[in-house]
Amino acid sequence: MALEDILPRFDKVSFTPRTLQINYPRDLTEGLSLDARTFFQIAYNKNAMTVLDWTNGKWKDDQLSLDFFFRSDQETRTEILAFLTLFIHEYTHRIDFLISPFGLQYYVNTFREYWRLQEFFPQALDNPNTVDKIRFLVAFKENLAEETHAEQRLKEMWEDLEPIIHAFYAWGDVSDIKPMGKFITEGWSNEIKGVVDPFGVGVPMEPITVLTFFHTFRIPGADKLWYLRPLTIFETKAVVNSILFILYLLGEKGVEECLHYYERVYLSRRSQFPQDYFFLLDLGARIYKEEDFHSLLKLRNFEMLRSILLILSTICWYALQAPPPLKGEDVRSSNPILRLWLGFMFFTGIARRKINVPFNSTAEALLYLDEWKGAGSFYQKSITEIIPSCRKVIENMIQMNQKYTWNPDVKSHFRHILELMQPHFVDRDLSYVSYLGMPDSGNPLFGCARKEDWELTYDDYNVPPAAKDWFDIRSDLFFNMLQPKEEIIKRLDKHYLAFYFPYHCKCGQGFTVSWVSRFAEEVNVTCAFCGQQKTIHRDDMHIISVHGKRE
Amino acid sequence: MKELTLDQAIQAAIELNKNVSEKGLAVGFSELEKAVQDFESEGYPIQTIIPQGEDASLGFSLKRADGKKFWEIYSDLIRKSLCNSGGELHKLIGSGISTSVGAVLTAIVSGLGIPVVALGVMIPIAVIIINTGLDAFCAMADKKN
Repeated sequence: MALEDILPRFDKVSFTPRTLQINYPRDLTEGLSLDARTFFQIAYNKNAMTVLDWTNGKWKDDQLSLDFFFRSDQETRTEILAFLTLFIHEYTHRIDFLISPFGLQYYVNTFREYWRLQEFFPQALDNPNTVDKIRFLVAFKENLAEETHAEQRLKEMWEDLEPIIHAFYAWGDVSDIKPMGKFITEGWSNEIKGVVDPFGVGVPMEPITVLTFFHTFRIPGADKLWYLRPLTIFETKAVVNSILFILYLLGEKGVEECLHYYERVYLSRRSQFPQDYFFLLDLGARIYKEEDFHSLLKLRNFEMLRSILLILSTICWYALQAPPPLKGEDVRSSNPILRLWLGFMFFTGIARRKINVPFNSTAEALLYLDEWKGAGSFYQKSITEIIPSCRKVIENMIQMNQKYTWNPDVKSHFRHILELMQPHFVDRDLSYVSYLGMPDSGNPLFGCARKEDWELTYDDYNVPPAAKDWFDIRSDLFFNMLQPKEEIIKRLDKHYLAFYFPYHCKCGQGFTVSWVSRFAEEVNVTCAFCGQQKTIHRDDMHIISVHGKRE
Repeated sequence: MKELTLDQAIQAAIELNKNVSEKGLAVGFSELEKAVQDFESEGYPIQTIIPQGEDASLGFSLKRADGKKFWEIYSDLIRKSLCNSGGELHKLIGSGISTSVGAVLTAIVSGLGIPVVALGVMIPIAVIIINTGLDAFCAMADKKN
């Protein structure tokens, strides 16, 4: 099978952060060309291959494998490299989500969103007027009439939910979701407005604010709905690691292979990919005054190419240190794009000798960036503040998950995520050093040293069906304007089924009503009139099953 | 793209259908491309009317649903959602009005719950389906299955 025929098969590989699943098509290897298969037989000589086998790169030191590789035609060589870098690409995503403060911010938002939806959906589904409004939930407030008590109650609940869902929407859900134009405003304030060259490399960009809080940049005059977003950082990092890995495997000879790889896998299909895959690579090339990344590759300069890739890897890693915002803090301190901007300017200054700091590694240079006068004015925190605050957030989330997540399957999934993440914050030095986060070889799996590191790579975890079912319908409910099908509403109803519990306190002043988990053995209630608290066992509760009524 | 009522959209579909009958299906596809562009330039990302059916992901697979891909994705969606037994288009085939572009447009809009702002995009889709032949269009679903 020719490369152009196998690439669509590779295109089906993806990573879903909420379920932690790396998705491969079943027939991934079946379409490989005979030459590519022969190469893999020579290079690996093994049948049942794991991801660790595919990415071990041992064949780089085996002359027979190298001879076969370089005697193969260009298309086969690119096919082999495209196949191997699929694993690098997706594991880069998985590891970045699980060990970075921004990854933590993403999951914290996912948990907080879920806890609030546990009470929101049973009430929204209970009212025929509001069921119709369960679509494109990001704009729920705009559609709500607020005529009835139930609608007013939902609106109150929405006040807590909106910032969470809007954060995901502004981030494009860390995928390719684009907010509508009406949610994007020009400038960051009246003073910071208009087209400038913010990165200092001759690329005009316009500061914009998405959903009133997310400051970022877009390219003026082009696609007005695209802007720098977390996806830009994640995808750049994955492509950078893939190209670094090719250089690791093939050394200086790899420069030619990187050029063909980039042209065939990415550039020739540029219109199909979001800009996020290219923008920072092109911007990075301009640090060394090259027009774009393709021009840089065409120079076939190993040192220059590797230098730019390592700078981009470092800047993206720095950007991903944007932590979950603490209560009352300025949200700009959690904005990864502001960190990206700051990091880019700092390293451009270093590369162009406008900033002179002594450092032995890029991680060390980032410590100087923490001290740099610009960092504070960008609202950014130092890593010595970020890591301790992330540790506290994780501890807090573990307790809150235990207390607030009703569905046991979802609770166990959230706990699994937090348990995977916790050691990477608890044991981390208060520095930017990370062999998983910015591997020189491009392969984050080479950075695995401890049991907790290897656990990030295991594929044997099965996301509980209830959690997966919710995540599968979530995106369309939030970000899509089409009316959900009846079947979706039924799944939503089934997932979020809760009981309506009217509690009559001994004080006799009236009923206190609340929605309670259908899984709860006990419920803690506080009388709305006298404030007395009581724990009531499930068997003693007179609950109303709203689900049964709708069925 | 001007926001249309369903009646206005049906009228526009009838006119486009005449045009396509005279000049060929290519006109319908070109109108679809233009409608998708207009939709986006009005500030509506095209993904807002393409259901994903799964959680947002990232990685090697991430591809844009631009105008060219739109018909491929949408025709598939319509077949899966509306051509099955009990689906809106399936009902039309049985009703004897399967050659009415207005009926097909209405079936798509109601069957998929299309918001008013996206009616303009559905006009060329209905016209392309009518000119493919509703039976033939839905029969492709069986073939694909």
